[in-house]
Amino acid sequence: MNYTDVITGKNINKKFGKFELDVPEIHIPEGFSTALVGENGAGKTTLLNILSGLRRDNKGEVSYFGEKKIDDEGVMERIGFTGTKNYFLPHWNGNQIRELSETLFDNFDRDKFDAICKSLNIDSSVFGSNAKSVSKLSDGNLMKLMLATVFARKTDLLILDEPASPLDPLMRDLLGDILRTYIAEGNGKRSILFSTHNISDMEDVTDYIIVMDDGKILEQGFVTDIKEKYVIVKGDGEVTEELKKNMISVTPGKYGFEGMALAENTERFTGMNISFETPDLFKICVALLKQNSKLSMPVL
Amino acid sequence: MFKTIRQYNSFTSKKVMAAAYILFPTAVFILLVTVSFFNRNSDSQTFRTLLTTFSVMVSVWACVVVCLSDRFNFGALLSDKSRISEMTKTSPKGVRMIKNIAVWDIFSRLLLIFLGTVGIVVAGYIGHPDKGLKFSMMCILFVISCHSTTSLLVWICRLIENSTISTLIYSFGILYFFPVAILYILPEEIFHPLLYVGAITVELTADVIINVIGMCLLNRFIKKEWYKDKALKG
Repeated sequence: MNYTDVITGKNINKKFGKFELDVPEIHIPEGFSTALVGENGAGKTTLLNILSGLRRDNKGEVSYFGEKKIDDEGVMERIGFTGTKNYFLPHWNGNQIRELSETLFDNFDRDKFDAICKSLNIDSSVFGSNAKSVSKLSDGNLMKLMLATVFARKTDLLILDEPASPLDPLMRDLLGDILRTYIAEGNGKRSILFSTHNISDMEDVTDYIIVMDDGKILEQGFVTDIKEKYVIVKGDGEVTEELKKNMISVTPGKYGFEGMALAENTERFTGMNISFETPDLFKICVALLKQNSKLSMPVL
Repeated sequence: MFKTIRQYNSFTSKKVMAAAYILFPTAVFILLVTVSFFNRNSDSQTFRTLLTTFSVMVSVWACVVVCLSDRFNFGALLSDKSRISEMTKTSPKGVRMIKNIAVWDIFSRLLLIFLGTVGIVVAGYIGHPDKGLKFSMMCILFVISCHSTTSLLVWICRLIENSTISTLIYSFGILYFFPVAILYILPEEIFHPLLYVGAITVELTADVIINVIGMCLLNRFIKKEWYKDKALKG
């Protein structure tokens, strides 16, 4: 597929004690929605912070919208970022957030912000004359408020750190609609990069996927290509060494096994009593992450 | 100190802070009276009068500052004691504002140290002409070590975003008042109440004046219209 990069990263490296984020190359396609998936502690937030310009103490180079750097004129204004709890300071209230957003960003639209807050049904106690601080908000409302400040700006790139995690199913569904509309109305010039643990919920919004594990990128590509690249392998026999050798991951069960293999290797299973299925994103991510995961079933 | 209140005020109840800033000078006052009890040979009348004046002055000052701090909430929007919000950091204007605040903060502290130093030296010579220099030098060391180190380290804390270290440093900032206690334990021959009160008055006054001017300028600077008209065009 032909596309240009909205973000290109090269040789990105950042060390925290024993953890090392090491990304030799990363491409975020312009005009698409990219999901960043990985285990807790895989380095997703660190990578997003680097790509959004929040963190500058890393090695490597990142360019935006072609060859521009983060400090070039107008680049940061074109990027909308929502982070974790440090996005707002806890003592701020909604009025102050509106005022500060207007001060900090030329492309912030106050009326649009108010309308979005109303549409998203954000807890109104943080606005008005006796406005409460955002520290009193639930995680879901806090995330909705963060999203409202970003959606109220004219941007060409959204970088969202786990936007769906604290949201209820209804709001998650609405977020999917909003993100799809954002991309559709951009005529190929608007892009989204978001991290998520809820890849099943966000699959409809995902065009391109990056799977990370322990600071490294395991897989990246367009969802259609990735789905063609892997197959689910199901069988009712024993999990033999021969089988394991040809699969990315395999989980034995009471009545057989299920695992993931490269589609190009399907002929290696000829003669075995197995079936193939097209995987969804969730299964692909789980299979890829299982390869090096330290997780195991606890004794209950 | 003014800045400290403003920052604490930004994430703690105003009432709690008002109480703390009234109770703290009171505690210092009690400490001074207790220590002075063991220095009964001092000029007790002058001593007590000046201590009372000092205590009242600091208490009133604390109340006024806490009330005024609302005016500077816009400044407090940008940062609290250990963090700068991600929203601010992702805005080019926000980054510029933070840099300007940092520059002003450090500049104001350096100016304060200069004025405080001059004040202490002058007060030292007035209070105790023959031994004033030695005493003044000691005061200067206290002021510089407590005041400037706290201010500079707080900015380092904001950069590294470590709230634990920041809290420790703010606790260290309370050492600002420790010279009060330590000076009273000094040998009697180099002690004179006027020397101390003169020094602390000059320092507190300079602190308040500088911070009020600074915060007013900062507040004006941050205001959107002014910022757009002047700062961006400039």
